[in-house]
Amino acid sequence: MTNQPDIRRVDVRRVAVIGAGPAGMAAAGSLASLGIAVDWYEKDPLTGGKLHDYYQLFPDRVRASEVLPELESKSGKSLITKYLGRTISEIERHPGGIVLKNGSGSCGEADAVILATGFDFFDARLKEEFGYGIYKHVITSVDLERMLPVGKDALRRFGKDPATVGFVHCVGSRDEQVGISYCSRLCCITGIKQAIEVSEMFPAAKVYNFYIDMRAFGQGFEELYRKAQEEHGIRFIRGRVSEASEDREFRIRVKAEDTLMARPLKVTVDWLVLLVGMTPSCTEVTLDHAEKQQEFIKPENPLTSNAVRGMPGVFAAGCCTGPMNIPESVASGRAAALQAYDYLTRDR
Amino acid sequence: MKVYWKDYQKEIADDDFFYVRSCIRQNFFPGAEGLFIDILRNKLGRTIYEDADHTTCTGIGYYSGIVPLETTMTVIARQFALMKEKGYKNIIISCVTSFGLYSEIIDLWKQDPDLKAKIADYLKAATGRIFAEPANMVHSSDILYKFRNEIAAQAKYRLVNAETGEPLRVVDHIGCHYGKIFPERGVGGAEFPQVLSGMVKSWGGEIIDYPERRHCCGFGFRQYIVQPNRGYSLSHSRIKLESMKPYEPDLIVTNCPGCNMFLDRWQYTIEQEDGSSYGANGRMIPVLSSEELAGLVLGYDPWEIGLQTHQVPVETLLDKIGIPYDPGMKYADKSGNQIGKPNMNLQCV
Amino acid sequence: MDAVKSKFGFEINQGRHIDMDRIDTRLADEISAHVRSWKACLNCGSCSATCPGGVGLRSLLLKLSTLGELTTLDTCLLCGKCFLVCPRGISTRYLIIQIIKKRREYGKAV
Repeated sequence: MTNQPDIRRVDVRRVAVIGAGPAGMAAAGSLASLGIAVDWYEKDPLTGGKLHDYYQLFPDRVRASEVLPELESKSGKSLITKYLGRTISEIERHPGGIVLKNGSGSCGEADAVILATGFDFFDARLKEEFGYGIYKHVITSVDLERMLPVGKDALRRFGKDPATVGFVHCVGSRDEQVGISYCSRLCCITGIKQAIEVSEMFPAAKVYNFYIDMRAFGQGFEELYRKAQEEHGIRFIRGRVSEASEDREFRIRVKAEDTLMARPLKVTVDWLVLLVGMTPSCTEVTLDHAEKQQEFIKPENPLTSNAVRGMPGVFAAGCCTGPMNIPESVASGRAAALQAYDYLTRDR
Repeated sequence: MKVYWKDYQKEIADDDFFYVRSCIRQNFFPGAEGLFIDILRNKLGRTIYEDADHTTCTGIGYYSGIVPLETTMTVIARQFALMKEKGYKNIIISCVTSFGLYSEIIDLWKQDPDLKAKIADYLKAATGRIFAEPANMVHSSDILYKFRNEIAAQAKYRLVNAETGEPLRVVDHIGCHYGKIFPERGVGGAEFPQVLSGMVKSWGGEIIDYPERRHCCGFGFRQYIVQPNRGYSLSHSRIKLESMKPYEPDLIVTNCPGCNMFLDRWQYTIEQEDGSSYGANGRMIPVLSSEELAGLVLGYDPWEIGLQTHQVPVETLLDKIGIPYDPGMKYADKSGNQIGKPNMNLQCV
Repeated sequence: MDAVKSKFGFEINQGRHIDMDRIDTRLADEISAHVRSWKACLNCGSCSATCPGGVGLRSLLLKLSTLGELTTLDTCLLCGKCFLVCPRGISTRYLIIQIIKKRREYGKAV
């Protein structure tokens, strides 16, 4: 008899996956492929996470609505039990396993847990100088993403096409004034993508992107950046926006610094789009009675392990560990699933 | 640090105030401070004390690079010492720049207690006095903001066009030193301070948001004091006035005496340069400070509170609100003798 | 202006800010219609760094595209080194020739 790990032996073990966004979908699907039973918890009534809110994904502008069913098909297996509309607020490790709680007591148990709770967008109202929530035509990239599939009418003002649109990079990222020092990685490429989308919708419009550094790190990102400049004439202005205010026609008057010209700059736009960063999710799960902290979850070892530091058996995947795009979240989910499988099946 | 400024409430004391005056306000708008004291004592029934020995805060000298920081700190420490000696803990500061300077100094002392101890030694050596920081430190417009509803209850007039019944269109301008350096010391924070708009709204006016609302009036000090450089300061007043123009305001209200002086004076100078005017029909916009505005709604006589010293005439504004005044008394002294009048014929909106 | 200067002792400055609402970009638009790759400029400065003639090409092109201002290129040798080093592959030499042409059209010396 060869010393093969007997997969059937682990059938009785269960892994809880918390979160049904891209990372959660990948984790649940991979675990099921490996023969592990999954209890899948999601606070929303649907799986898919923020994919429901996205229109076209960078860099190739594939529709999110096409990607979602693809990811879901890989996670619709019989070994998975879905608990939609359920929030897990705390997990506690015991010698016999891990207990899941939801605020009114214990609601489940598992032998291992994968946290895939995702992220929240930065609250743009905290950057008061831009007037989000005060001026109607100051919107975030999240708002714009919802408006784009509606078509031209969503962006027309008083029946007329917008003549000028501005994008502000780094809203709530790399900013000590709001207590966030990290870079959210994906906002620059989002700004490029949305600038192209707006320019395609309104070819006569002038589009300005105000940036600090252009972070176009991924495959196809730099090419999209060049396309935005060369084919669409998007004007990239290096410098921060200091304030936005409204004029008589409800257009937004933007004041910024043009650092390359070393002069201040003013421009009036019909829409000002704030590219908001990613923050740790506030519907996070408390781990082992620890103090609730608003931070991304740190892995045990970024090179070798998705386990949460100091919590064997608990793994984290996707944006709850830091800003990631969809392919990265999916890969992270799969990696966490494999490590959870290893954890369950190795000899102890 | 994550604060929604719209909801921020600043702590403003209720009574027992020590008042310190402003150089610019006393000299250019001499009625305003006496009016403020009168309002607090006789209309609001509060205790406000003004020490005959108090001095300028030397902010003008400090910001022009003439007076060293330690000297300014010692002078301000002396103001606090006078306050302590008379038994007061709450200070009202008339000038916004002064208010900013006091805030800066208290912040510097907090960061460097040795510096504070050194200043205490200087003060003791120079004057024999000992000081204590105030428990509550506010600007005079904060006080009017706090008591705006009490003032509205006693008001004889509202900021409403008596003929048409429409609220007056008011633009506000808040001094930079009020909320931009220490946002937590301004009602409403740095970007959307509400100290003046709150007052105007309770007194019936309509506040207009204009694009350059947050822009500085340009006073500065260092560039303004050197005459050939003064044009740089004025260029900022021009930016503000141009931005207000499309809205055709009836009135500009300010809290800083320097800003008040600038917006009041330079409408004439800019018109001399290129003929521009900023009010409707090519006229000028009257500029009032918050205490003068409070005085008008409470029914004080316009000439008793010193409105004749404003460069832009206020008569048409008084007519709009329906406040009666005696044109003959505008340039008369207390006994009714005419003291002479300016030879400019300025029209206001 | 002189009235204020003599009466008050100072002139009122104009603002330094670039007013994008008022800039006429037609000149730059005409030239970039010929040399589309110019729009891909990142302002990295490789061209200025390598120029043997000391032409500040980066800032010259930036001023042209942002302000619509056309300044002189009289030390340019048309050697093409700037084209050789441009990381975005912009045809800078061809671009300079278009600029010189435009200047001649306007009757200015190059």
